[in-house]
Amino acid sequence: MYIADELRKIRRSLDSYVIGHEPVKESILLALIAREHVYLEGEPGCAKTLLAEVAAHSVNLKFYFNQFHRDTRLAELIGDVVLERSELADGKGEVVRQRVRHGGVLTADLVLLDDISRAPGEALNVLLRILNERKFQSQPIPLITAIATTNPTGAAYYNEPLDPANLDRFTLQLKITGAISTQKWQEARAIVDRYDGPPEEITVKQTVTADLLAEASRAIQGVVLPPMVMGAYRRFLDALLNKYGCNPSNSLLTDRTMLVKVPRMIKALALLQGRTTAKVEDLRVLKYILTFRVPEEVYNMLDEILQDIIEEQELAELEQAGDEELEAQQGQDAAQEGESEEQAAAGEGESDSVDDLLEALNSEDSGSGEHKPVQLQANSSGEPSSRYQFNAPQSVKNLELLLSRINGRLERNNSDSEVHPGGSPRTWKRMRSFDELLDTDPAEIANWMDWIHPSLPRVYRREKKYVGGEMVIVRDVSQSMEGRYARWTSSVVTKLVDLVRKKRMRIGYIEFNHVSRKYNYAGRFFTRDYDKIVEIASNVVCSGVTNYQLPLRDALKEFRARGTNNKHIVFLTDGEPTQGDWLVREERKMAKKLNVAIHTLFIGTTECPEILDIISEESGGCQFLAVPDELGGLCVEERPQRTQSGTTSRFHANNIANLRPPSSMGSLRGQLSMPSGRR
Amino acid sequence: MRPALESSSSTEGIAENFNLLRRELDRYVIGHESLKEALILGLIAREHIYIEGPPGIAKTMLAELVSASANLDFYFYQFHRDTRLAELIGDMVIQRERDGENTELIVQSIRKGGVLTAELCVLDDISRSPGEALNVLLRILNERRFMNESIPLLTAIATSNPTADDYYNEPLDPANLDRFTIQIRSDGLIQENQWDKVKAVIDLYADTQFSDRIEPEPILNREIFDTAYRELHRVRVPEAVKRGLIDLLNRLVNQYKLDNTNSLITDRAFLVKGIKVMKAKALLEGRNTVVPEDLHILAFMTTFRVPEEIHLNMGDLIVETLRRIGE
Repeated sequence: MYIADELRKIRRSLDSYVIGHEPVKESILLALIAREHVYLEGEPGCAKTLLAEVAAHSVNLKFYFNQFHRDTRLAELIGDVVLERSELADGKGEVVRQRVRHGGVLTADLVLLDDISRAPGEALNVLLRILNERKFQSQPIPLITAIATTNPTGAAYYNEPLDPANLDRFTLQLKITGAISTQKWQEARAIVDRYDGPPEEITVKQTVTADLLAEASRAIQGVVLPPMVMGAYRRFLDALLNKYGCNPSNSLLTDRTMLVKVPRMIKALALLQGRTTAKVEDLRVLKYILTFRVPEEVYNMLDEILQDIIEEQELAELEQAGDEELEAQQGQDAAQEGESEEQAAAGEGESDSVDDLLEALNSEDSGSGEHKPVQLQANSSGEPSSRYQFNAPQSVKNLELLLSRINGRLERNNSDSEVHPGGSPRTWKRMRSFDELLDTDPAEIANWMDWIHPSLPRVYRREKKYVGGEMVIVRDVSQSMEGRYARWTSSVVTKLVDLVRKKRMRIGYIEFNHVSRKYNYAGRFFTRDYDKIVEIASNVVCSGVTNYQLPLRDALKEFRARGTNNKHIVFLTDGEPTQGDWLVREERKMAKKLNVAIHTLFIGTTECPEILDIISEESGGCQFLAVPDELGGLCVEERPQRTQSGTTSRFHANNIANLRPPSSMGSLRGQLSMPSGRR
Repeated sequence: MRPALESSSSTEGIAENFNLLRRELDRYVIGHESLKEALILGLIAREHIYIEGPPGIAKTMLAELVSASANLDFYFYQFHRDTRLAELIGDMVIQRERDGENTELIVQSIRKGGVLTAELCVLDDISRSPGEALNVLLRILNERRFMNESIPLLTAIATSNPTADDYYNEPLDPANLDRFTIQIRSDGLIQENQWDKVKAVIDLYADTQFSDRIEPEPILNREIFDTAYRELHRVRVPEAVKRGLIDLLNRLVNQYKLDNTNSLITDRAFLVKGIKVMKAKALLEGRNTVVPEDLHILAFMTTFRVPEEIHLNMGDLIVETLRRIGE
């Protein structure tokens, strides 16, 4: 097929510069013909940018490249500002209108957005809207595909993850890894050989034009999507949602992507293979789509899930068709499949599994115990089989939840937990010196130059990424913590210290029961001697009763002389306060005033004292619950926020004085119609 | 007297030129052999260099000496907490142009200067730089482009104090650190117990009043650098060396359990740039073929890319690899 042949040329030029990375190459081609955007995430130096650049050079398209950084200005992305002034008819004033002279993303066919996660919020906002709508101020733009690359988000890279809404704009999403880190030594060797010579400019013969891509895009519409493929896809979606526990809180399965774009991408893959009819195995395109849309462990099993679906689909058809018609069907399939080698192989694969199923069916007839069909039946009826139990409590694994949430807060620098779905909003400050000239609003500075005035125009506020800050671990060592809880808490502390170490934050450590013990080294509370903290935390003696007030006060006092942001307390306890002010009123006020986020983790099977929720929510911290599971470990869950409308206000308005002491916390919970502390 | 300079394209000629530079460095700075070698390799291979060490160990002096003797357009900048972007890349410009009767076009741009116009940069105390300046800078270093125009930069030499409480600085992030192909950690002669050299330093700077007038002679020029860079790509890399490189990486990953959580072993750095630096080493020794022993330069690249204890072992690891490929 002519289109597929032309596309193969792009593939060849990609191959000539980049060794390996087959999925990335294929998905770039898919994106070009289906006019979708691609998001590539990978460690530094694994040819992300090179791949995108070669792709850009091998199509004869207008190309725009931008490497993002914290100072990326909007004007760089979309063009310079034009100011239009006209006198009012009566001569009593002037109209000042601001436009953009299109450039950058607005005039390019293909856009490469390098290091997108480093972009400042205000630029990202506009950019992603443009990518999504393919329009700017209601004018359509020529953009075909945007390829965005980024390093993995994490502390070390000073970047922020794109939020899910933004990520959804990139239909194709891939993780990309280096040859060395995945131990592909042959590939590594090939890279050494390939780049052994002098440095070279990327020179590729550009044979593929915008017209061809447009034609390919139309051809996608013409690809037939047989009901069998759609059926398999439906089952796949059903399995994701019902068997593998994908839900809105852990996945991003939007109607736009899953119902509109996926079928189109299935067709695109068929087209890329030179077929005009989609096949069940084209569902593998989902591997390029679901990367960041489903939980990682589900994604890692995608191959198996797809395989199961394909088998199920065939089984279902077998049941319908019955034994005799089956032969005919097989014959038809074979006839449809043409004669190319690849397809013949695929055909063989299919008939093999069909044979397996036939065999299985037969053995079921004979009535022996455990067979394949029984298992398959079980799968399709939605019963989870043992290997799919992601929701099962796993003490070690779920610790990651706590760490990742707290990590998220650390990265966001302060206790601000608000989500900005379109990227962080643009904020302004007064210009202090003319060095900030490039950050001014162009129209504003132009006006200012006409009427010079002592107060300088506004500039965008840039936030410097802040590494550092402090975390205090406040740990309950009362009598009830003795034994398993203590050991477990120690391991939580160790993990927290690792997290803090990575960020080079300073750390403080407080143990408390009815008294509070602060650990000081050389007269200093906050330290970077992480190993020492781990050592201390591994040797605890538990005794006494519980007092929340003293340790919190101790910790907060230490924060008084510290910086302005990234201040955290992680509060680990297993019991209700029995001494001191159990509402810790003073301390809560102090935490707010000092902008300290208090994250709480409650361990145990009893009701979580509501005061912990209050502390966390008021200070913008996260809240967790750890309950013992049947395996003898502990399982961390997030405690739900007390978000029911009215609850908080009622609580604050007058009920706070009427709260009874903690021993009757349970009834209080009922009275305030709180959501249960535990799921 | 100094032998006459010739921009000979023969490998021996190139080696001779760079060895002159090496001797000039030796005149002023005692010891620090590997640091000097790394600097020269970086210059030949046009890779960026990152030097980390405590204050007062001649980091900056070496960098300055190199730039003065290299005789390139050079830009020196000492970072501080208030470094402004304009100081690094040039002044901000606002242009207003008539764009029709009632309209004007407003373009915010930069009049290039600093890093954008230099061939060699010394970025002193780079880790003190505030994030926004550093971001732009490192991007420029990496791409060697600014606003879609190439810049003349050959090599940037960055120095930094160790990141710790006492120095007001922050660690570079791994993606940025990877831009500096050559990474060296350096310590003072006193800390390293090199007492004979300590004595030599005292002699050198006590007897002469050297510190007032360090004026190294311009030894190289742009032409020599260009010739060297052309020759660099003619250097052959034999099969055994490639095998050795892969073997070494393989053992680092498998035996020493390096992965992307504890190290930064990127394809770009080790598979592409590592080879380039080995070629530079060959040139520096007047060869036009890389020999397996050149694998030792990988120790200049692992300093901040692998855990410290493994970096300290790199010498042994490389010797072991040489033995294996020798068999």
